[in-house]
Amino acid sequence: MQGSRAALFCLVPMLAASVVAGPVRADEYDLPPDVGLAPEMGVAAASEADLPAPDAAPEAPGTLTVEARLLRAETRDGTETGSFRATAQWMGHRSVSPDLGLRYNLRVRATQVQHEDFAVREDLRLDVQELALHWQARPGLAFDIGRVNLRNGVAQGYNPTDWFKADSLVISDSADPGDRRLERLGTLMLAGQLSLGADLLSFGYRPRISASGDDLLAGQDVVGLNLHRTNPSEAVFLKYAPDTGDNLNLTVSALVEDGDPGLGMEVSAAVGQSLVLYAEGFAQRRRSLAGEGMAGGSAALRDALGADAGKGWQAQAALGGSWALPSALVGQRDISLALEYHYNGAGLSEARLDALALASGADLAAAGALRGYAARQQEPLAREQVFARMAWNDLWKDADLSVLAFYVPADHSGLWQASIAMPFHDDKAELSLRASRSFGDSASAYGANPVETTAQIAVRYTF
Amino acid sequence: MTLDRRSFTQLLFGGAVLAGMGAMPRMALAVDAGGILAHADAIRNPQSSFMVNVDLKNYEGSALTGQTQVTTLSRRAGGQFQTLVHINAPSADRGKLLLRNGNSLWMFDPASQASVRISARQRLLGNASNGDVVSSNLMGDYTPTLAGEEAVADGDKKTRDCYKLDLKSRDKSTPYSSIEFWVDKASGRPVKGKYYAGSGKLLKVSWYRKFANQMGASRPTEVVIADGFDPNKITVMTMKGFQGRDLPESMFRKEALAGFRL
Repeated sequence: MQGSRAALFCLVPMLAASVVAGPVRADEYDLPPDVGLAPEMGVAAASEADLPAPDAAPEAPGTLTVEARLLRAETRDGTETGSFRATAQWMGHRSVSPDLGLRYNLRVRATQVQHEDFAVREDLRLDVQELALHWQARPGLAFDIGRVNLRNGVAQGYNPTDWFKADSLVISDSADPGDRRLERLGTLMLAGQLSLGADLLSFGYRPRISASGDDLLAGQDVVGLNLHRTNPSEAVFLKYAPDTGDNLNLTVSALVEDGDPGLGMEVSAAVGQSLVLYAEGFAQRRRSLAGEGMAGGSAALRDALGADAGKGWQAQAALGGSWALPSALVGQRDISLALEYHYNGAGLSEARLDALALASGADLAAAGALRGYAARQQEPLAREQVFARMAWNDLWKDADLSVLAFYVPADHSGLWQASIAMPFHDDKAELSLRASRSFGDSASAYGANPVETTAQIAVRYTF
Repeated sequence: MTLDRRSFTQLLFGGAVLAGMGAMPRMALAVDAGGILAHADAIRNPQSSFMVNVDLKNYEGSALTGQTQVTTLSRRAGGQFQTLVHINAPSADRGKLLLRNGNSLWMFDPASQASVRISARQRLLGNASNGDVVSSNLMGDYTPTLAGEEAVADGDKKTRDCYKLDLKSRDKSTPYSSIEFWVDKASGRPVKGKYYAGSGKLLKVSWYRKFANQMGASRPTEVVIADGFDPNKITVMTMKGFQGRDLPESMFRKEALAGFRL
């Protein structure tokens, strides 16, 4: 994987530097540093005015973030496109009374595509990502009603238990699941949480919203809520997080979606100081990806992909761990590696990936529709894939580097993405660079993506 | 999540210092290592749950390079502490939460509603750590021996006659393999600590200072932390506004983070 190679290239000089640096002499610590001592000692003193108020429980105000982003994309046939996007996002929590508050996450974005005229109806959007009332009914019992971004799962690259991720993305210009979590719409629901001592029981109901077209609830220009995407079916859910001690974390869950049941669990535990292991799984009665996402296609292709099979129990899982490199290797540097195995029982096996790759003629549209459907559902197209990430925080001053990669062993396709974020102006502003590239045969799981290479630069300021 | 590593570890260490701010029983100083450490624990560890505001300033040399403000909630549980840190500033990190419950450590981002589990190592880096939050009851995690008596400089550069304790980790889950810990002979107050990894590398050095009346007892309101790898990297943590709080156990669960309100 190119991503892993990039990570290795970064690691080698860092390890060498660690060896060369040598130990610090212990006597340098006989006296405390001068910083923060009284002025008469010739150093800056901590001012009382700098401190939080003595009895303050500061209510966080809303956070306004503005961003300007330039994007460049190149397709496999060499066509280049550029675009510019400006966004303003406002999020926070506003208390109405001691027991009632409003949670909001709203964003306005305007996109200008190169060589195209700006059309307000198409290029300006208001995204209501979250807007919900929070009611603390009594100690240990709370409810949310409205658009809520309910997010489940412990894995980094793929979350089978994250039921409501399907078709929720408003922007998809990053392959990083961490970025994508910031770019999704919440789900209209009534949700509650009950404390049972240290145990927590969460529950909720998601209604089906069947609006369509230019309806305000659907895809109306500029202000459409797109609830038909986030609420395509009726669902009830239950999550139970028992007290399992101070290391093991366990959550079990159940979902019934339009009458089809599903059961899930996530578990994580630390092993020593550097390693965290985790697993999550979800089994649901449903059709396969091909059955759900491919309406057309020849009988031969549909048969090869099992697209006409009925519903059955489909299992999905993510298993992995993250390892923070020990100080013996990297000194005080904060470098961590994550590796995960993803299984999507509803995805395509190696034989079916081959069959999809061989689609031709009129079947190409059906194959493309299936690939698009998997992307919108945020599910791996392939039955098995591997995910890896290297994160190096404070690579240079406060700049953070992240390199991640997905790889499908069945067809040797994948995608890598590297990004670096550099805060400045007292950490209120950030300059970020991002690049990605997919690889593999042009009909493979990742190689079939028409966009092969992307590059982005963004400046963000948070008030 | 964009909260940088240094700020994160400092925040966690902030909670550690808070753990030293609770009710401090006025007990006679014992003369054995266990008694001395237990007394220092009694100074460092509150006896009740509480909330406090913490200001962390990072320095490189004498230059201020960054500042973070948090509110920390600590709940006494079985001799140790569960800790929830709410970030108030900088604005880019506003509302983010750090949860520590035993060896379970989570970061929560309100923008994505996502909780990410991280390892203890990620809180060990830099010139501060949450080791003192987790293992604030040093007697529970380390075996002390009296290494002698020494005169050492305290946080105000005043020389104090101290007991020197050598602490050895009892298991691999502790954040440090060993600690050298100095306790004022006259008052039993913690004066200084040097914290080591299993390789013998010095990870950090901390000094307690600016003792003031907090929650009914005289406690340090400032801790200076020097990076064990680079003595020019300093963090000064200032605590103010201690309040006793009734904090439910369910608050300190990963699944509760999305509903947390300060």
